[in-house]
Amino acid sequence: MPRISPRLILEAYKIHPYLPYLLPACKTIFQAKLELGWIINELPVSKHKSAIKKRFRLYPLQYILGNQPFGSNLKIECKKGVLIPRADTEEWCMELCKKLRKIKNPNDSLKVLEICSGSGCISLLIGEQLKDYLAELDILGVDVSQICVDLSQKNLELNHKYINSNKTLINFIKGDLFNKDLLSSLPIQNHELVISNPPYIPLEEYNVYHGGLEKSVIKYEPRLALVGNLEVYKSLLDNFVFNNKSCKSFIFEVGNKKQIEFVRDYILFKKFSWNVGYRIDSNGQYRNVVGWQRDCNYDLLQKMCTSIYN
Amino acid sequence: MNVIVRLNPVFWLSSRSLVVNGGRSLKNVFAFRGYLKYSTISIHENENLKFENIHPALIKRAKQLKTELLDLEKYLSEGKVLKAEESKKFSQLSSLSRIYDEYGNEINNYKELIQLVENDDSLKDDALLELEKSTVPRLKYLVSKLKTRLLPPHEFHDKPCILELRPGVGGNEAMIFTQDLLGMYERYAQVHKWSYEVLSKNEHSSGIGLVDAVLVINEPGSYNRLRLESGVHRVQRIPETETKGRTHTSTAAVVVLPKMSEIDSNSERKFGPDDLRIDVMRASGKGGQHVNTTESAVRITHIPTGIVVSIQDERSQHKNKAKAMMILRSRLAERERLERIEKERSDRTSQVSSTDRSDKIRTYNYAQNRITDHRCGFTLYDIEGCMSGEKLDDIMDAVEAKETEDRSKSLIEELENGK
Ligand SMILES: C[S@@+](CC[C@H](N)C(=O)[O-])C[C@H]1O[C@@H](n2cnc3c(N)ncnc32)[C@H](O)[C@@H]1O
Repeated sequence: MPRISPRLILEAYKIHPYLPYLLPACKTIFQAKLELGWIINELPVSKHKSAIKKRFRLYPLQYILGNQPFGSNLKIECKKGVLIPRADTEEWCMELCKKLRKIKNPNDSLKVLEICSGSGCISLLIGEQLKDYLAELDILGVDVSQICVDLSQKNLELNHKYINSNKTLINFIKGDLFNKDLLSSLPIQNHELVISNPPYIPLEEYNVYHGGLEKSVIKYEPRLALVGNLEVYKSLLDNFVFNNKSCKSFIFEVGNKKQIEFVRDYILFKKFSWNVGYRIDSNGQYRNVVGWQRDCNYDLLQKMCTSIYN
Repeated sequence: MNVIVRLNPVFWLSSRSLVVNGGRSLKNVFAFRGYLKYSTISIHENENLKFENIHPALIKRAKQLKTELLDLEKYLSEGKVLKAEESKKFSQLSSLSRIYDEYGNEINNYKELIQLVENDDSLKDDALLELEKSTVPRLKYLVSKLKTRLLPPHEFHDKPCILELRPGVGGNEAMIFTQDLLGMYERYAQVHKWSYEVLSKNEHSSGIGLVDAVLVINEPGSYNRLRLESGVHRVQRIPETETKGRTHTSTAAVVVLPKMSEIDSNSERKFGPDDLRIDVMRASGKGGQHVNTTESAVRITHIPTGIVVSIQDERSQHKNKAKAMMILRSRLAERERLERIEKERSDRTSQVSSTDRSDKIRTYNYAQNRITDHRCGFTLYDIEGCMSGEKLDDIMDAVEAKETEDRSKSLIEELENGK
């Protein structure tokens, strides 16, 4: 834990007696005040003390408050056992939706497959952003964890009013991305787009002291949602992209440049006529690998890319 | 629709007060005096029968606008479709014309009643009663309404609004006053059942008083109602912390902006690639799955103007950004409006009217339980009623009336010089 100076603690205490407890998680008084404000606004008084105590032990605020906003309207329920939606994910999803609106015409239909859907935030955001824009929008989210599938289903219901449209269908089911036969058992097979934010923290980084991982993440978020590496991307490509003629594009979130290069090299090795690009996010981090079949209008996805491989 | 009131020149005596004699010459009225047995005051001295009539130049303008309306009606009857601008104008002109017609009818009524008062002893008392209780108040109302409608509508009159509040001089007490003003406007919105949201609020680190606050009122047209609240508000009172019982003077600044939404096609503003700098709070390091930070603050700098908007209240970075963009658009719109006014003013070298000053506009004096608006000289003796939002309308009405009067005057000048 970074050391917090006694002076800072005293200063925080003078503002509010609860504030010092938020310093280990927040580090600055500015952020601690914001968190205290959110706790006070969103939870009944009877829960304030226990919330502060939990947060002092770095328990994620999103689990304490029970949700995280995502996009302009959605509120995604969060609970232990399911990864908290990240702002970095929200950023590329919003960009993707803008691009999809250009790629597709209003009387087109679109089928999207999301692997590793977790809380459901990505599928739900695409649903919200594109509903009523397309003649037909079909989204299927797949996750190996039953807690995730249940929560994403619940999030679909909780956000019903923002997503509801007779042109949009969203569903979540249980499934393992490493299973070669999974696709043939799914209710959607002829999807055009595969999306995934798979677990991408290499095992050797799954350690506070080396990997730049936050203590709160390691202590409280599910390992299943976090630990993974190249094998995950290989299976995503093999099992959902290359074995399906209708698939025209994919976009995956990544944790480092190696994972991007792996995807590029794997496609090169397979000699498929696909283009690959990567995207660096607004924080300057390698964040996505993007692929599309040559000579189709999905090449507009290159506009999301920082750079494209040839 | 085609009532045309021909005004006798004698109707118009001064812009301040009008004496009507039912079309007779003044001599005749005086001749009648002897017959008014039951009345102690003659008609032209009776204050209750006086009202400030509309200036002939404005009447002319109203007629002109009516012909424009007829043109549009003709256009419609030919089955043509009005453009957005035209249909907006059409509805403005129709409502103006309705008021003008009503005004014409009421003026006729007035004349007839005056005739009765003067000529018919048996009906005189009833006629007087009707004049005092109904016709004259109604005319006063219609005249003020007509005057307002004849003025070109404010550029953003149909917009919702954003209020930005900041303490001025007076240290902590100014911050507390800023908080009081925020409360006043929130309650004002409640009184009117308008939806509102405190978009952003920064408390002073002591927890008492505000460093700044942004309030959005979503009601369309609320900008027009509140825009004259812009300016420096001054408070005179004994702060709670003051041990020697001295009265302090502190100030807070209020800026009222038209709320510009992104979807608003008229206000669609495209920013160049180098116009904006967007700074977001970030966890250092790898981001993504590595961190579950709650940091979501956003700061947007508009480079050409140097305007900076920071928002941190929402837990979603995306929402903070959207809010900051909305405030930026609104600030730019207001800034450009003020620049246009400034330019027009220097083109015409017309004077700054007392209601567009942005300096000290109002004083809240707690010891005397009064609020004085310096632009119109109106004083309300009810601090509590004002701060609870209930009586704020009284002050706003007075300021608005003053503004209408000022604008009317310059419109008359313009119309008279124009021909
Ligand atoms: C990083 S989380 C992403 C969750 C969500 N899509 C988001 O962006 O917030 C990865 C998800 O992958 C799921 N997962 C892990 N291994 C999997 C597997 N073999 N097959 C399918 N899903 C898996 C986890 O349960 C977790 O919900």
